Amino acid sequence: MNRKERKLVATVFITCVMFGVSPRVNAMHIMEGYLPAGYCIAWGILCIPFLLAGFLQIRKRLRDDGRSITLLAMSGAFIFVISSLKIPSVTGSCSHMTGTGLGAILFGPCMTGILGCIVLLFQAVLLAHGGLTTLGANAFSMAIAGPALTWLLYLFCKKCRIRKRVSVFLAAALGDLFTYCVTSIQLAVAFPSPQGGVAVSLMKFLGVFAPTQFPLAILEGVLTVLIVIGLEVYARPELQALEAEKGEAS
Amino acid sequence: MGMEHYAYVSPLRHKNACLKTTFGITVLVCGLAMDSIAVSLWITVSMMGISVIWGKVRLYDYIRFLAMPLFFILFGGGALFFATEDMRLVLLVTLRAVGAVSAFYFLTLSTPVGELMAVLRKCHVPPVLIGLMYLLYRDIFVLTGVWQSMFTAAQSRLGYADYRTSLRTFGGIGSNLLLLSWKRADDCYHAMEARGYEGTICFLERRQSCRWYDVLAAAGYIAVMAAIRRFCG
Repeated sequence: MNRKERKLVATVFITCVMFGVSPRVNAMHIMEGYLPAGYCIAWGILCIPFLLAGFLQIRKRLRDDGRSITLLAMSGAFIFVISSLKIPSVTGSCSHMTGTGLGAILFGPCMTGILGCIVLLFQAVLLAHGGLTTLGANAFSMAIAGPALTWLLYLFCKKCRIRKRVSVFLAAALGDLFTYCVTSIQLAVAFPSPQGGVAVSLMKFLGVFAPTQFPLAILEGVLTVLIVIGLEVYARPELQALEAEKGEAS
Repeated sequence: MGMEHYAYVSPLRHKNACLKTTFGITVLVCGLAMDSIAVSLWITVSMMGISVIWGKVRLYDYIRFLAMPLFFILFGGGALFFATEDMRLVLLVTLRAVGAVSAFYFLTLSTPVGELMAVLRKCHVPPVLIGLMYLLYRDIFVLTGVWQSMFTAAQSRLGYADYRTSLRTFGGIGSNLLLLSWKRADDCYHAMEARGYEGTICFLERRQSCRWYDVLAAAGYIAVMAAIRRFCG
């Protein structure tokens, strides 16, 4: 083996180990009862303006065209199903997509905010992922912050005329990473380290979740691209209609 | 989704949904606010008792339901210990989380989603949102069924033979699922329109009377919580 080959083997080995050791990862949902009461309320209040914007947009859309309600509901259900599916991984360990990145690329951030919130509620009720008291915090990280960044990145890449597949990958993967950063910040603010305060515990939370979240973010990017490719092949007219609608909304 | 099944067959289902929701959320919030190990332990044990004895949930199933969040809680506890190095805090947060999950399970194992939405309607959540939530909830099961058959079809054609292929299959199923769901959405709208849909989805609600002894029991439970907080810390 020459040096290049050795490097390749080492990289593949590390990647495989990372996929292999990642347990049932769903570190992005903050569990029920994890945050102190004050923080639950604070994050919930922080979500309200974004959700209100989403609600107004949905109401306007339904007023213009009543039949979009079934479309919205189906799209929300799609986000739920895609985020509750096991993604293929090497060892059969079980991890999930967030699905909200895809939602943001397809439907825009405001709509995804509301749909994501409802999805999170159902995930709490039906699957015990996340929870009722931490709904605000989870909604902020997974349904608002992540999709918003995904959407901005996607727009930015479009402006720069980067190839669509690359931009979808970047937007979805980085949005996923951002979600995990926000979750870490939420945990760090609620549980500051006694020695170094919020900053130290933030670094530690980021460090603990990084080995599982990095490969997951890349995987999320890859899968989102694959789904978008599939849609481009089979559903070009529908995608164009969505793009047009988004253009009107923003 | 076994929890859904229990919610429909539970003997506690016929209790007033508003009372159950108020009670469940009050216990959840009080458990969080009281922030005490003893109270959390009490919530965990008593809620398990209520769900298993009155709710007729099989103990094995209950533990199975609890195992999944428990894993995340322990994983999070590990992370928390690494970040703060405060064993007492970790213990407190972990037990508080287990208690909160148990209290929430009482609610989800005794109240079907349809009735939870009726409670939301009474809280004056906009009807647009309620309609959207209800349709979304139904569609979850429709799409899960569709996904299941796609998964079987792909698997029988060696769609998950190796890692690369399985990634591609996942992507393909994802896009196909979305496409199919959009098609179904149209059919669903036509079906609704044919049945007189004019912008709001109306439901027939089962009348559930709120009995005085249920209210008393709920109040007693919260009083016990307060007493435990007062005397055991």
